[in-house]
Amino acid sequence: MIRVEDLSVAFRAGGRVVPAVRGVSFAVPKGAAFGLVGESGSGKTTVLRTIAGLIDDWDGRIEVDGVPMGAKRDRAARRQLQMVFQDPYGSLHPRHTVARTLAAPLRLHGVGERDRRIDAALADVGLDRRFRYRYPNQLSGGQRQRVAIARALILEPAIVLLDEPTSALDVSVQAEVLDLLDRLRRERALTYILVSHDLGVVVRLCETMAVMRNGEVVETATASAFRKGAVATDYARGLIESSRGYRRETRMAEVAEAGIRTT
Amino acid sequence: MTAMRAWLLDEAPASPAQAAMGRAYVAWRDFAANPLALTGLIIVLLLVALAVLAPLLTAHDPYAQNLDDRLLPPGAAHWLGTDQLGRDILARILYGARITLMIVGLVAVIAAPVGLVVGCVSGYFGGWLDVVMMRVTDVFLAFPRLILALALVAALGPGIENAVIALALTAWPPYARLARAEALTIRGREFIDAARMQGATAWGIVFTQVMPLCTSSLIVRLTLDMAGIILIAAGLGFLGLGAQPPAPEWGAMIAAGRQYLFDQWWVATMPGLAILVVSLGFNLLGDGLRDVLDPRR
Amino acid sequence: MTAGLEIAGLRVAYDSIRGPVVAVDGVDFTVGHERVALVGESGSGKSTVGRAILRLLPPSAHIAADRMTFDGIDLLGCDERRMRRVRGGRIGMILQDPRHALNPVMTVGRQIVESYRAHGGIGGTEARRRALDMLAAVHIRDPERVFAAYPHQLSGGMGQRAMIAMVLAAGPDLLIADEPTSALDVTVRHSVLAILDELVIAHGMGLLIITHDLNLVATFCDRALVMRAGRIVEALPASGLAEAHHPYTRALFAAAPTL
Repeated sequence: MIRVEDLSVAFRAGGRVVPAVRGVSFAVPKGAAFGLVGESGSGKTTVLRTIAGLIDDWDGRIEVDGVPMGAKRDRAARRQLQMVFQDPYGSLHPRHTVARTLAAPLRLHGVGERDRRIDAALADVGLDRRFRYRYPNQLSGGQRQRVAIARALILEPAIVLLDEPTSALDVSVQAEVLDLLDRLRRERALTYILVSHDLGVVVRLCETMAVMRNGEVVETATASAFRKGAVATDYARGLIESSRGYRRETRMAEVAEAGIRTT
Repeated sequence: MTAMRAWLLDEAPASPAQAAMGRAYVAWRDFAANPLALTGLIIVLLLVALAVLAPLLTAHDPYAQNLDDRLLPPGAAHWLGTDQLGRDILARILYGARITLMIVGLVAVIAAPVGLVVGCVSGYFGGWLDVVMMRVTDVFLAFPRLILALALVAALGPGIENAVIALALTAWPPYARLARAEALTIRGREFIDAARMQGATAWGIVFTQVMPLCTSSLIVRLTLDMAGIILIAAGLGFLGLGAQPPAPEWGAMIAAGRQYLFDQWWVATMPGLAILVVSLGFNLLGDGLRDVLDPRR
Repeated sequence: MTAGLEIAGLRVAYDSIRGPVVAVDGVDFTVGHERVALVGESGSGKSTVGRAILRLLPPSAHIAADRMTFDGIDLLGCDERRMRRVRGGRIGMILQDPRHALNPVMTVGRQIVESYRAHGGIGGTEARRRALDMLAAVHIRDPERVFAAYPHQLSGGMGQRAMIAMVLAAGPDLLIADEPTSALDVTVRHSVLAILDELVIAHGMGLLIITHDLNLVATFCDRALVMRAGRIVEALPASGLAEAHHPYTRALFAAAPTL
């Protein structure tokens, strides 16, 4: 469904060129969910934004359904790929009602029956008609993220890019949104690419995942391999270890060994 | 009343209009909770009312000269006295409010939209367009406002229309700067990315997404600037470059009353007080609006 | 031994346009020389409790308590001058977002040095040496560079650690940490926790961690207080979170995605 080959992205900061992504390749079959895990600065979000068409300057090859995606994209190409953003407080226009937010993509693509589609899109994400004319500041974080998901799905894209979609949410809300994303994927045979720093979230939603570090993919493995801890690299093992919680004995030994003074 | 309130504060509005009105109602309640802001609003509304109802509020003709009654102190016949040509000062101030309002209104209608468009386009697109537009803005900003207005009026010829044009031409650059700064921060927000991914054009994004968010801070700035515009308009009038006699422009009235300041103080003081109160009103209103319309809320 | 922080019947209400909103509705707990977690979701009132202890709430908030003392100091009754000495000196606070806590026009180093000098009563050279040590202690690889940097020149994680260094420099007896590690990467997170851990174990500091991360609480803390809608619904040993009795705690624990 989507194939990324030898993707490299560099940013210009001042006079210097800083590589953010270096030679990243992966492929995601139709209906699959693929995770990109990494710490801040690993380049995972840059990969996602490049696939999304939000970054103009990159090298390599991105194919959707065998069709290469250029830096400049037409509306039809854009319609296939939609994105859910990290910050539910920043991804909705503060002065637009829910209905207006959802109507905008329909209007842009000349889709009819907008009222019916907006209601259907809201129902799909578990919101009823009463939410139509609310402003974002009248919604909770979870409700906002549901609206953002509805906005991404209203154009019926084939691929949904998820950028830390639950990291700003409470655990119980996070669980609901993850369930929702999981259900929608199965119902509509959607293809997901999920970016997250939280291994637990990625394992919950994806079958396959890649660990990124310093702009490169360190390791690609299945979610079950991660769950079992059956990974090849030390870095991935370290991530798994850290996600399992705090280990007092090992940590205190490190502190003692380093001879760190704290007073 | 309570039903109305409940309707406005409804958590689930049934129409976009109800949603918008509910939002406005909440903003109004914040605004009304601030007594100074409310005072400002009342002053400005009063100014509008006085200007509109001027013929009903005074029996005197602002242009009617009566040399027998010249320089009369405030009294029963002429509440605020008369000027050097025996014209009723109250009537002249009331009719003068129309001129002040017209100047303020025209400047606002011309300068703010120009500044908004220039600033939003410049900030959103960036690149060479931004550089060119902002350098032009800088050129305008580099001149002191009154001096530039004076030069323009001197070139175009004195008169109220030319004064408005001069004021508008000198007033837009700060709005462009402000709108650009706002647009720069809005550009990086995720809802802009979302709109791009839906295939919205850059111009569409500027007009439907960026501009509405820039307007509130622009309105605040504009309201606060009104006092300055009134003062500059009065300054032009005072220097004889604004409204021409016998028009009852407040600045021109002060200029005319200047020579009687020691013996017939009311001739210059009354229009001066009018300018003071109205400027204060706009300032208070602007401060109140700033608290309510803060885009960071 | 004094019990450190003692709170009984703490209530906080905010004024709003729809009338007063109760954020904290009668909370009792103590923090001694231990790691206590205040767990809950957003809106549970957990952050309000943390701020109420130091009276760092906006003027629209009304704080009331039957008892709120630290080492015998009445935190609710004492005047603002005394409170300033308590803040930072006796009770430190780490916030989730370092940008609000660091002064943007002062270098990080100077802020830490000031903190040492204000609360430790030591000279400039000694304070500088200790500041660099402290930066190294919070796992900042290049302390000299960070010492000379302004807050905006640091990444989020780096700024967070710099702020922790600044707060710890004052040598507080109690540390209130509101989501201290949620802005940090997992690998750094545990290093920072180790520092806090050492302060509790070796120096008898009290630690009140305010968080939504149950995994962290279960593996790091001694006790957990689960908050919901302004009340503590369950208090239990942190290691026993998996076997909690209260349905809310159980649901919360089940919801957290784990490996």
